[in-house]
Amino acid sequence: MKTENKNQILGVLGDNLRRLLINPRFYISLILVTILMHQIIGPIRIFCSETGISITPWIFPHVVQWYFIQNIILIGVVLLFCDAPFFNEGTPFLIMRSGRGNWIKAQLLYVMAASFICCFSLLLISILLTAPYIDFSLEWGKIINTLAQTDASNQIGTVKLDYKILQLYHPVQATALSFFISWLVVSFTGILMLTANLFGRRIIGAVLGTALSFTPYFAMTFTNLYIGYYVSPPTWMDITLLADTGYSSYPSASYIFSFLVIGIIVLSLISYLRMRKKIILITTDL
Amino acid sequence: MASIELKNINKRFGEQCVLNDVSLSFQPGKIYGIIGRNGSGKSVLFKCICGFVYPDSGEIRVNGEIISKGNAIPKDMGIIIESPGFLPNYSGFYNLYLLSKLLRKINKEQIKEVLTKVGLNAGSKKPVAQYSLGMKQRLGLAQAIMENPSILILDEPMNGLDNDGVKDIRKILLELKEQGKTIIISSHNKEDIAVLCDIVYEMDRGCIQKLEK
Repeated sequence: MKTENKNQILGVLGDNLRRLLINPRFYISLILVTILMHQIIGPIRIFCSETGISITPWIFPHVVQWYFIQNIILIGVVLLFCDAPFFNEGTPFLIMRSGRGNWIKAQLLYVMAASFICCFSLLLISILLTAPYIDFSLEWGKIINTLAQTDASNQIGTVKLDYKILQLYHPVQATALSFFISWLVVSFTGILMLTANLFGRRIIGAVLGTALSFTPYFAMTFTNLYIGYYVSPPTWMDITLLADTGYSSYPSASYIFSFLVIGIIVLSLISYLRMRKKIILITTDL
Repeated sequence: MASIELKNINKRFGEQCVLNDVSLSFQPGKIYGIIGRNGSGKSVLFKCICGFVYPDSGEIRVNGEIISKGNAIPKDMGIIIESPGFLPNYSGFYNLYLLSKLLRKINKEQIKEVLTKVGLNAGSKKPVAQYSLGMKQRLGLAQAIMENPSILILDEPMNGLDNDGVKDIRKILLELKEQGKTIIISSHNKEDIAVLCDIVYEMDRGCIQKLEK
């Protein structure tokens, strides 16, 4: 890539990221998810306090396993990206210097970067919600093992942690995998919304994103058919669904990664081609 | 060679014709004024020249390059279109510095010179969110001229300025004209048009005609 193209893309990307940090919707999204996460993690923190045993920082893969958390994360994503493709009063100055092609490339990179920041923030929040009872060990630890293998979760008023995660994955592996999939799912949703909004009114992206956020409920309703899981990216944040053998009816890891990566690439290409013809309208509604 | 040439430009939004067979030519070293009521098509004309809106038919050339087709955004052009928008939490200088990094044509000293030229304090750390409308307009103009473009498209450049500000900006535009820039401005203020413009066009319901000055 030519240096000048790189400067222009990074310059526009930098502008978007600076606006993200002063965007109230970013913080509202995080607060929404934090409130719900607290419903799960709050009782665990109390459990740590009463037992005198700290929890290791690997609670994230267990939290994002739940459909209501997946739903609210995606609702937060819809709130954050509802103004895609992010035209604002500064856009004319940027497009005149970068050109349409570099500008849309920067918007696509921005969605991926903002998604990374969101998911990383959620990972941090899941750890901070257990403070000060954090044990920085590389093992699952007693608390998570107890909550996964006994009915202690029921007694303290939280969700039961899935023992399958402990059986299948090392804690760092589980956290990295669920973080990576979450990032891909959030990026896919954001880029889907951006692409949809380039073809019509901004509400289209919001409707699609919201519909996607409710697909975990659809997947659960048709559990016997498993078909729901194949068309519900948010459910893939549950890493126990990654089919580890040929006998599973759930989507395989290769299906999930192919769907998300190819989906992101194809939607990005469509966005790039569409932006070449798009009328640039500046609005400040949001 | 004309800096900007428009040939038989037509544009409709739904049933409404906003540009009706517009043909114009803009030469270097002149200031052109476009006047007209709200909704007459001035902004759409400017956006077509900037490559933000594509005409339904006709051809637009900017410095010899066709920009009415494909994805071309004209190079070497400074603009003020809509209200100038900047990062509100940063100073005027830092905003221009971030913009300058896209093209890397100018350095920090040159940015400070431009800010001083438009009447802003180059060393001020005041965030743009605290700027008055006039200060934002001056910053918008600084943004448009800082990389020394050969063409300036300025939609209502005097908006929000006091009398001294208007005088300062007029002086700058006349200096830029002497340097051979092609400058197109729109304004509701007849005095601006009278003092600055060599040629004036009036737009009305998508049609354009030259006025006797």
